[in-house]
Amino acid sequence: MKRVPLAALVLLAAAAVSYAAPRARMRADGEVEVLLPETVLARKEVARQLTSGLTTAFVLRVEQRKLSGGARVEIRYDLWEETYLITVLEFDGRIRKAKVAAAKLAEWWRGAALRVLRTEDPSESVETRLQVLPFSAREEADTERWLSESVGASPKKNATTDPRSSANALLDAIIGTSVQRRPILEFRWSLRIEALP
Amino acid sequence: MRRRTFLVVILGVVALVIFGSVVRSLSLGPLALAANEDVHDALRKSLDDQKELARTHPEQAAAYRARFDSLRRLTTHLEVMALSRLTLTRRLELALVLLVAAMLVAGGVIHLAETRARERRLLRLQSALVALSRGEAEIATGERGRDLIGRISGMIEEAAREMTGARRRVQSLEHLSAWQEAARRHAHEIRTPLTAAQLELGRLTSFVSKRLPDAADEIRDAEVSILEELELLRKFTTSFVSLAAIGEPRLRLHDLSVLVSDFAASCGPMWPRLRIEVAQPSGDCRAAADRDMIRQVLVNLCSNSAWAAGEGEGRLRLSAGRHNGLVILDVSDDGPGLPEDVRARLFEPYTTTRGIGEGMGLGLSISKKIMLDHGGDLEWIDTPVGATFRLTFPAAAGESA
Repeated sequence: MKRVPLAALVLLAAAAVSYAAPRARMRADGEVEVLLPETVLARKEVARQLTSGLTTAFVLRVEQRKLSGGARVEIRYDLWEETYLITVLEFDGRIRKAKVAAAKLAEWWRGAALRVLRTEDPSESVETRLQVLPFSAREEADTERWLSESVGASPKKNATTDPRSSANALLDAIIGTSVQRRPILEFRWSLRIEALP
Repeated sequence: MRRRTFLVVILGVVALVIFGSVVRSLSLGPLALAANEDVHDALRKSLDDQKELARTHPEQAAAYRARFDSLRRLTTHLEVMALSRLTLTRRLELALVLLVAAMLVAGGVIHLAETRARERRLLRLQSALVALSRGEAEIATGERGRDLIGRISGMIEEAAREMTGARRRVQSLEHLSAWQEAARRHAHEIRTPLTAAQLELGRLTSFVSKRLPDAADEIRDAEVSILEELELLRKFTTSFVSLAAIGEPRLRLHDLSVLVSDFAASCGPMWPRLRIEVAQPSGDCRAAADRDMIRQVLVNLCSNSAWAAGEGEGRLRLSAGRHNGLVILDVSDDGPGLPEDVRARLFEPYTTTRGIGEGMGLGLSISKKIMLDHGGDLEWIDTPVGATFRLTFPAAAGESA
């Protein structure tokens, strides 16, 4: 009696693992597109970031032998409109923007095929790395500026001999090296390229 | 060395103050806000409130929206700060570690440099001590510091100077003692036959005068002439004795500035063409001295100056003062000074610039001997004008007589 539920659990876990991996598909024009798993969004770190009002960036990098490519998805929740503002940058520089209602984000995510690479060898798998960054470069720069102004850093010119200006310079240096985007999550997959039906 | 250590300490304090200022700025300001969940909750609620107000009062929606955007920017900053808080804390810790490490390294480097410098100075000190033990006269360590090594170096240099002076005085004393002994023997050897010759001359004169009464006047003239020559010889011998018979000084504490003033007042008239001036004394001039002997030295020196002035007017200056544990009496005249060929053997007996029969050249030797017996010295000082003789006495701290 006990073996049946155990086998069911193993199967469910296997299904979950397979579902957690992204999918790479080869298009007719030789471009590879990647569909990221919904489980990325479901992670609590990501879910929290997505509702913080900061721009969450998903940076995808792919490599296939000597070829490399990638894509970036930036999602910011507009607290006033209560919608997600999405910007997608693909490997060839093409930008797509979308405004998605909060309830529709998962649906958009599932259908968001990210063009990451052009290849002629679909038999070779691609090495994929996804980093989730908690805020954008612009938000980083804005915060650095605000922090410097708030604590009285950003020393004036010709004030280098003043100990306070030395403190400000040190403060600026610490702020400049501390307020940095560091991935809150990172995933690595090796994907087999499927042919697009 | 101390200045460098002080500088490092000052720099360390300044660095810590700067660091403290940075930590204070961050920890009391935005970092504290970012770490406070209540602040985040309040901001979120405020954002919701602005939205609600805009819905309730659509006519003021723009104002609420503007306030909303302002709050949202602040929220964004605090969210970013909250995410960077750990890194920021680590950076501050790293900065503190680097600061302390820099101070330790600086302290270590300075300690090393000081140790090496001290080693070099100690080697110089060692060389100076070796030179001192060899009896070298001129020792220059090159140390001018006011610390312990500098002071010890100064003491070694001073000791070398003292030892050189003492050695020179001992040599002079031995030299003059040898001359004294020679003078004593010569005086003894001359006086005995001189006395015998005087007695025999009297007997001879008496004998011959009885036999040759006609030649009595001529015999008396011859006797007087011989006696005059013998008197000259006796005087010569007496001067020998004056060098040989210098006694031990009977030392008593005197204020030498007073002694000099008294001397000028009482003995000045002995040299009518010499104008004697007494300078204002500088410092405590008390020293142990034999008053009569010192007066004899001063008489010798003044006599020399008066002789050097010749027929003209001369000026002589007496000054007393205290310097480096010595009481110094300077006797300076404005005469022609000393010929160069005399200077090197100035204090040797029978050294004189006077003509035959004008002096034995014993005055300066006797004066030198007197001063050496006082534990002091008599030196000739090279001056551009005239001649200056310096009498030095070990200064005393006792009460003056």
